[in-house]
Amino acid sequence: MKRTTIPIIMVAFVFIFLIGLLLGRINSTSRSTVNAQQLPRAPETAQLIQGTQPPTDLPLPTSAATPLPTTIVKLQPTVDPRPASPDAKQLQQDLVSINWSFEPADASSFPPNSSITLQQALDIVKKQYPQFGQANGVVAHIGWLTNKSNSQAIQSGQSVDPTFATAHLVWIVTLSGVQSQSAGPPGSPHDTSNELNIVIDAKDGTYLMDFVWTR
Amino acid sequence: MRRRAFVFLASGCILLLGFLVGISITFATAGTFFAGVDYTAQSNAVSGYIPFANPSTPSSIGTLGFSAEWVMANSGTGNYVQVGWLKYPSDTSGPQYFFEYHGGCGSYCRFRYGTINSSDHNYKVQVVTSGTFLNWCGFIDNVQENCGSSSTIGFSTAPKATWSGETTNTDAILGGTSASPVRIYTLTRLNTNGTWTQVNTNSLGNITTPGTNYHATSGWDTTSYVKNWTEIICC
Repeated sequence: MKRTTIPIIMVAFVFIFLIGLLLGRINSTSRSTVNAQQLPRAPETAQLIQGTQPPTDLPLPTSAATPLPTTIVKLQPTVDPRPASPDAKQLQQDLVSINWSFEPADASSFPPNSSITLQQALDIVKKQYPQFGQANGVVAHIGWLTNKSNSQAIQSGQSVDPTFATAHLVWIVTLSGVQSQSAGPPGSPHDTSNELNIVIDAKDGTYLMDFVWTR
Repeated sequence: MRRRAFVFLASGCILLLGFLVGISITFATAGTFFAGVDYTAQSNAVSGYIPFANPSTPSSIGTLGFSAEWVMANSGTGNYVQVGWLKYPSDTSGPQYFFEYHGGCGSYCRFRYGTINSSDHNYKVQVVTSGTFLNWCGFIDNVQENCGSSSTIGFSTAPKATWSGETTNTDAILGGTSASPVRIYTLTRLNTNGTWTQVNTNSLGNITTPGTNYHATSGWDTTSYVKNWTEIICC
């Protein structure tokens, strides 16, 4: 074999290898496509679903099996358009709508060292949540947070998480523009929240909870 | 002549090698992936035991990505209430308990309550009466964590019960093994007549042997989803 033909053969082998690689990828991709096509796919965009037109206060049904009044509504993936940071009043109103209460407090009214400062609260969140750096707005509110459902349940002797069953002094740090995708069952629209709220104990800085919502 | 045969044979081998390498290459795929079972019957509660797991959720799945395992009361048409564990890439300490519902608070709310400890836990969603209100509440080890109004969630009795794992990217894994990606056992639901019933995940029929464990390993029923969750792309 001539010395000049060896590099040519090597290049040819590499070329052949790449052709094989390409054929392999095409084969793999076509199999995936077939699999996906064979599956009954969930609707990709809007779908008609049965939902409810809820009354403000739902009375107890006479039977647990009694269906709620239904009406046809359209559900489709939602992205919360609100990047704006909420003020304390807005936060209070929105929490009330999901049966929580939040009573804003004046941080300056607490005795020295009885609660962590705003800066300390932000530092804690910054340390635990890398999303802090991605937020396009950060606000924090101090106040008394209560889960009213748990508050009522504990009074009736049920076993509940005590954390918010009574008013708990917390910092709620809101990171605006931080997105989270809903979970939910197959076929449901996967909505996107545009706001992450982190709740930390205002007395000792302990992480208590985080929540996202589309409000 | 022999040299030509050698070159020809070598070319074939290299072509085959390239083909096999090409097939074996996999790329991360974003989407929504499920493995679990559901059961269509009117239920007032849904419960199951989910073992502790701390699956890999690499940063490559994005900040929106997660791995989760949960039990759910499901309208079958998009509304739901669920409880379980969920892990984001940023959860370096492990997954957290979560409670989520669709309906009210815009479209959905999700609450997370801190890192779970390394043991099996019972997760349950159940209709609870509170004064004159009817709520769907989430329980962890029979301790009530949070509730959402059934009027905003959209149903007081769930037409479907669901037990599932879910990831948003094939780079994220579920809490089980490749053979059993999701391990939820003692799948139970509360009938509208107030009777707890354990669900057999093989036939999705009622069983009468309480205490028997069933592993949700086989994916969705044949009308919806296949066994190999990593190949499912939906939504």
